[in-house]
Amino acid sequence: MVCDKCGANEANIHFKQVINNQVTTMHLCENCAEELGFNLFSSQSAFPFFNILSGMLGPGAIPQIKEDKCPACGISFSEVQSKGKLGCSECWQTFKKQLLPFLKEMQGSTFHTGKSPKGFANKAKVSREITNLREELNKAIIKEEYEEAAKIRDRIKEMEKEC
Amino acid sequence: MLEKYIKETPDWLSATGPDADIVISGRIRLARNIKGFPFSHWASTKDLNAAADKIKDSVNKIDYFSGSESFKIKELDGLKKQFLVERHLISRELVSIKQGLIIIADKEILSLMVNEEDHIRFQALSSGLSLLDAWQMVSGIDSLLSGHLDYAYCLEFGYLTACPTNVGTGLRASCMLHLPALSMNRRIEKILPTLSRVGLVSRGFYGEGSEAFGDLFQISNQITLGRREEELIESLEKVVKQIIEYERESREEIAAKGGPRIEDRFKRAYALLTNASLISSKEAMELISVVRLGVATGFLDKIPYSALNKLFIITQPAHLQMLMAKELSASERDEERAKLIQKELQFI
Ligand SMILES: [Zn+2]
Ligand SMILES: [Zn+2]
Repeated sequence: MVCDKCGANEANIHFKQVINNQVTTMHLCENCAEELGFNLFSSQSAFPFFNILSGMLGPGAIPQIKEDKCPACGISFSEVQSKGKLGCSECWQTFKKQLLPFLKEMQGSTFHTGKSPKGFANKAKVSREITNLREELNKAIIKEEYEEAAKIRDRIKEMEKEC
Repeated sequence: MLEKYIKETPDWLSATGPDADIVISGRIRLARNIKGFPFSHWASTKDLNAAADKIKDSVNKIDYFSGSESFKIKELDGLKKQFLVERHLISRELVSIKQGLIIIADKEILSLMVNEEDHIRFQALSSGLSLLDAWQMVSGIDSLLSGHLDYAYCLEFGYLTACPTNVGTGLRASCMLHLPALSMNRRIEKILPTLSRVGLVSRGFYGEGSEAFGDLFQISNQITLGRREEELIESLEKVVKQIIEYERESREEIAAKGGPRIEDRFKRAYALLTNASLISSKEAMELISVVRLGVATGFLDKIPYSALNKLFIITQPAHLQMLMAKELSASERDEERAKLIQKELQFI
């Protein structure tokens, strides 16, 4: 199937839309989809609803695309968006890229700093130290203190093993 | 037996906590999920049952829950489910979840919803403004439970929840405030919209989308990630204390102004509440609210806040029918409600 817009490339993104109670489907190639602002994998896609999509296609727009599914629960990100709920705890890693902009917007943060379950307290401490060390590493590199930077890098590697 | 709860008055209505003249209750809720199970919304019946069994087993290993009772949602009739909602023991969402479970512990101080949006939702309810105490308690139970259950947790995002609006701490702290004076002078309309700027949200007596009947407002944190639990609670309490100050000022203004017009308003509300033959639940809440303010401002004789708090709850439709131990039509309820209120207030 060729792209509805350019008529040249293979269409591999399909949008269902409802206009005047009629369901029509739009077939686009990746380039044209991106041009129209439909890039599903960019950080633009808003959670929990496709603001951009519904804005352009009207209510009822349902994206149909071969997208990554969570290996643990088999749910795709568009399914997550349509229900507003993730499939399982693994989804947090699978869809991390898509979730981060939402977290930034809604939570004003992308990193947990509170309580941790038994057995995690130590790990949490290590992970915070690694974050600090990475900042130090950046500073050292900016200051061109390469010997110091190498030392910090080794320390980070060591700590990552613990994590 | 769920029926036994109708005879008890939960502690969070006792008006014994700090600032209980204005803060009816505080609530701490934690959302938790179990590793290896799909989140409730996507889980099969089999998964949900397995998760529920696992949670029940773990709960039973903790002494604190020794006197607790659990009820399967699917085994409760509509009236009992509504009773639990009115009681603030379950959410409206849990009502329609067949594999849902409610565990009630420690005379309703702590309760645990199973298979709602998240596998586990604990909550502790307490009287007045004492959220940090409630947090200490819930957190203690949570830590014990994490020794028996493998929580879905990662260092980066904290406690993993089905919805990103709860991730991180999984904490929702809220206060139920009675703000009749701020409602009367309409300052409340200016205060509520400012809450979102400080990461808080306000709701009615029965949560999202419910009307603020009886001038009762629930204020809670919206942000759950990137701040420690104590920080979230303290920043909520700070704002609540400010609102308490505003309400006190407004109450003082009303008391200072006085005059027959104001006096009449309170006396009329009291007369209606104690003499009417028919009262709807909405009217009851409105009258109780005015009477509560009348007591606070000294225009009415002292009635314990605990008695008025209790009336807010027991005049609700399902409570009324559970008390009468039978189903009642709307008009029968209005009649029984009027009788019940008279009975509750006659010895005071
Ligand atoms: Zn194209
Ligand atoms: Zn998943």
